[in-house]
Amino acid sequence: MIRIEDVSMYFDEIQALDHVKATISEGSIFGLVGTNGAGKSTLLRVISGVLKPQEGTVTVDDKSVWENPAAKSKICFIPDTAWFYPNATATGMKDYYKLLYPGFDETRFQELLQKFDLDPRRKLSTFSKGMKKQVSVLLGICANTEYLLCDETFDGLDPVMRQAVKSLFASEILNRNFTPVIASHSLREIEDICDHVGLLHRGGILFAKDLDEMKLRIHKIQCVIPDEELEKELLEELEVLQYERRGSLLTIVARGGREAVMNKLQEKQPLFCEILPLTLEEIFISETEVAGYDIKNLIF
Amino acid sequence: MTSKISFFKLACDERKKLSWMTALMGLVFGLLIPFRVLIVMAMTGREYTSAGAAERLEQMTKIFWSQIGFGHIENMVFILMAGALCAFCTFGYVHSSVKLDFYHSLAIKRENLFGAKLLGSVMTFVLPYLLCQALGVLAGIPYGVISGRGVLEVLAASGQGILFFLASYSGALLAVMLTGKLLTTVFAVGVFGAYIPMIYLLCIAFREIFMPTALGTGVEDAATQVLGYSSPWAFCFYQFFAGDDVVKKGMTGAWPDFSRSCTLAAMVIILLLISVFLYQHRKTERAGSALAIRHTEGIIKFLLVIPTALFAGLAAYGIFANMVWVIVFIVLFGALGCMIMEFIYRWDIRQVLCHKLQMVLSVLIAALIFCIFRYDTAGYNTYLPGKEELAGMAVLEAYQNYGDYLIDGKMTGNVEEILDYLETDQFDAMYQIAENGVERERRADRMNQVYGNGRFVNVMYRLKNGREIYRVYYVENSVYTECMEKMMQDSEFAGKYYPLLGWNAEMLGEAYITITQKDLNQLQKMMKASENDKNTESAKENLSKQNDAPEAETQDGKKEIKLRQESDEPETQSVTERITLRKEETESETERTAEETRTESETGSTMEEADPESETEDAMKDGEAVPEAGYAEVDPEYIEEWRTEYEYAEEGVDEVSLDFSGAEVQELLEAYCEDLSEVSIQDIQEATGWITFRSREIHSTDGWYSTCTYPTGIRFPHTMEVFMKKYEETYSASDESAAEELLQN
Repeated sequence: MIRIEDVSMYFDEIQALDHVKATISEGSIFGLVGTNGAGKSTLLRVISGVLKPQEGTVTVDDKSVWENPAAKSKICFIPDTAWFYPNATATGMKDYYKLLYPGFDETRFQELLQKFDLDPRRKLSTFSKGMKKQVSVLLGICANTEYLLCDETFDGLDPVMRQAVKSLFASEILNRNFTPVIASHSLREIEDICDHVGLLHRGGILFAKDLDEMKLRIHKIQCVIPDEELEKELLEELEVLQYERRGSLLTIVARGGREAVMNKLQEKQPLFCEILPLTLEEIFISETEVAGYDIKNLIF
Repeated sequence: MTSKISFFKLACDERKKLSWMTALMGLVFGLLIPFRVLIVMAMTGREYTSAGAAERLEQMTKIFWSQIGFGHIENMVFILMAGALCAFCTFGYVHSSVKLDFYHSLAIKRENLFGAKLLGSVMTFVLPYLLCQALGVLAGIPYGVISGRGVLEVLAASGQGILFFLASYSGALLAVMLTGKLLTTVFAVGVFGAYIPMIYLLCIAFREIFMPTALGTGVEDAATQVLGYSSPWAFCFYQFFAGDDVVKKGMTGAWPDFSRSCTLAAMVIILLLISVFLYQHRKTERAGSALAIRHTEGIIKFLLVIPTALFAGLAAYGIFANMVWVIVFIVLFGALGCMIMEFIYRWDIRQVLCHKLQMVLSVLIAALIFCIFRYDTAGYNTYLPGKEELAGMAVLEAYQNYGDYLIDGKMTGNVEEILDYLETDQFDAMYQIAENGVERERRADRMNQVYGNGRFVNVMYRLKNGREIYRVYYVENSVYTECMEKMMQDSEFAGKYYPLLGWNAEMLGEAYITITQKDLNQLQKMMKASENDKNTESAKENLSKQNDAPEAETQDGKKEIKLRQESDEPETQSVTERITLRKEETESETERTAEETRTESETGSTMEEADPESETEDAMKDGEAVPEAGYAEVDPEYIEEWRTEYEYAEEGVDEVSLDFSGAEVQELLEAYCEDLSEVSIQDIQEATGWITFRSREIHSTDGWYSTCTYPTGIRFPHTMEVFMKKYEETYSASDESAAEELLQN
């Protein structure tokens, strides 16, 4: 388990992380989403021991990460821009990773290189961005660490490769003690693969919850209520995150259990009502709007 | 996973990743060492093909060992460059956030990673270097020139080379750790190497310009120490070029000083430890910034801008001699320096004025420092302790070349030691010198310093509390002369003041005298005039008086300098006798040679045969004064004429020099010491000639000479007597041949 306790990080006068608290349990896929400049990459660097926070601690299985090889040996970090030594090939990087990660699975790496159709002897500097990402992911997976931190890993991968990587992750989770932490802007990707999601905004965690549970707690309702008074009452009774009216049709995003929300809705005798599933993107937008990050203000 | 990353495997891997550097080192050292040896030996072999086997082997051996081992500046320069390059390439990753994401996420402590990279990169140099040294030695096998001692020296030289590499590496590494960008790293290396010499130069400049009374004792030694230890690279050059401190000369060159090598090794260790500390604590997020530690930006700015502004102020002072311009330059260059530093930090021209307070402070501090020195607010130059505070004093004329002093059995030219030696508690006259010097300093116009009618005098004050203070003053000639005349009345002081009086005669090697042609002409005229009977008797009397003078003893009680008359040379003719004989020779060319031969074995006086009247008439016809006294006395009118008309420093003044060696030097020394104890200070000051003695004292394997140069001239009668005797001997043979030629024609 990775525990992030009250972590704050400053870059000169800029606060990148503001008292972040989160727990990443083993055996789940944790998605870290956030607005631009929210601090996702910074948080991953703090977890992997690259950066030292000014406040707070990060522990891996109750061991502090900072300058602790025992804790860091459980983590492999794949940054947004991966680095390969000059004139490196996939084989060369494999040998290097073998040295750096004693549990590296060389055989599996060779197999995966073949499956992904990557030339092991070709210089990585001649690879495209997507191909380099693929090599990074394969190296990370084959390092056989318990935690794999991926920063914007899916960006640059074509849809087929994305699916392939997702299935790899799923396979790893099934076969061993493996917990990937994925930071991404692509909420669709996170939604597909992640169990838990943490939402970062301006250096702070807005929420960190189980995805399914999150979806159970926020609902999008479409209804038609002829009586305006009853409509107002409904809006007051529900914990509304946002609502929109188009003609008679009222679309409401509200927190609460499905049953409770439906009961309140029924009391208002709607002509029509329906609960729709929310995508993670809609949940994300709604939550951040509440926090003051109004996407509509950015659209001209 | 709990397995650890293997340190040595990581180090080996690092070395493999720097294989290009290994190849580069191998190539360069291969050319510099074994390849060069092979070429030179082949050429030498061809050169000595026809020589005998023994000579050929000797030469081949000598040439072989001169090509490897100690020395070879080109090897050292490349080693230093290699050290810096290696540091940049190995640890340059700390300037890249992308690379740091990789390295610092690894399950290895920073210091272990540092160590593995250090070891791996050092191996990229050590392995090819040692291999090339070995190949260089092996290249001598076909010629049969290998010896165990030589191999040992090559090993020691290799050790020194590795030490030089580590020194350069550690210096460059420190610069890498202090900065966040390669460009600022290169600047940092330059600053690291040049900063202390720059500060030292600044201090010297301020001292020379604004502290004219500061005695420059030990400045050269201090410079060697300061500059030699100012940076690892400077230390390497200092160690390489240390000549006087050579432990011994080996087959391949001079062995270095072991203690200094140890000091260099200690410097390397300290620099590496500092680098490790910085690496452990530097913030990863500072990669890409100018400096790794943000709070050092202001400090470094002050450290660089203030000296720069002071240099600019000095330049303005030298050019304009105007304090307004000085302040303008300080402000201008101080502000400019700050802006440049800000640009280096931010790489944004719009932010060059972002720390105005620092700019103002640095300019103010520079201006304040300058004014403190310029106006001597501490009163350094006008310091004069009260007589009641003094326990003793000493003075010594500066810029004289009286040579080394023999103090406590050791020759020394150190001014402070000499002043300590000359210290006396009878310092009333000396105090007047100091007063005059201080008074002049009080009135001095620093910007328009004019020196004339005076001389520089070193002064030492010993206070009653034991403190010693040294100064040098510019003192008026009249005051100096008057005071020195008083001091020279103390025979003990006089005996100590001129080191020549304390020299051991066994130490002498050679000497030479230089006098002006004009003085020589006058001496010759005086010699002619003294052929007159009246002058001859007077000269005899004078000579007799001089013979009765007491013996002089050296201050240190060593071998006493005897008067010439007491020497074991009874057959030596007196100068007056020779002057008479010379006159007779001019009357007859044919009798001249026989006369010389005869008179050299005779001691009787033939002065009565001289006919001085014609000579006197000649002299009077020329309008020159005829000295009534003998050779030993100088015509006062001549002296007056010399004072008003003659300028020794004028161009085109002819000089006559004579060399003395062997027993002649002993005689010359005796004569000069006698003159020294008799002539006045004014005579010494106004002398136009020079006498130089050279001793030989083995001080190192190469030997060195101690020389002293004293004034001499026509008013040093005993010395001139010896000079003319030598002159006669030197030019009489040529005169004879010229005379014969004249007769034949």
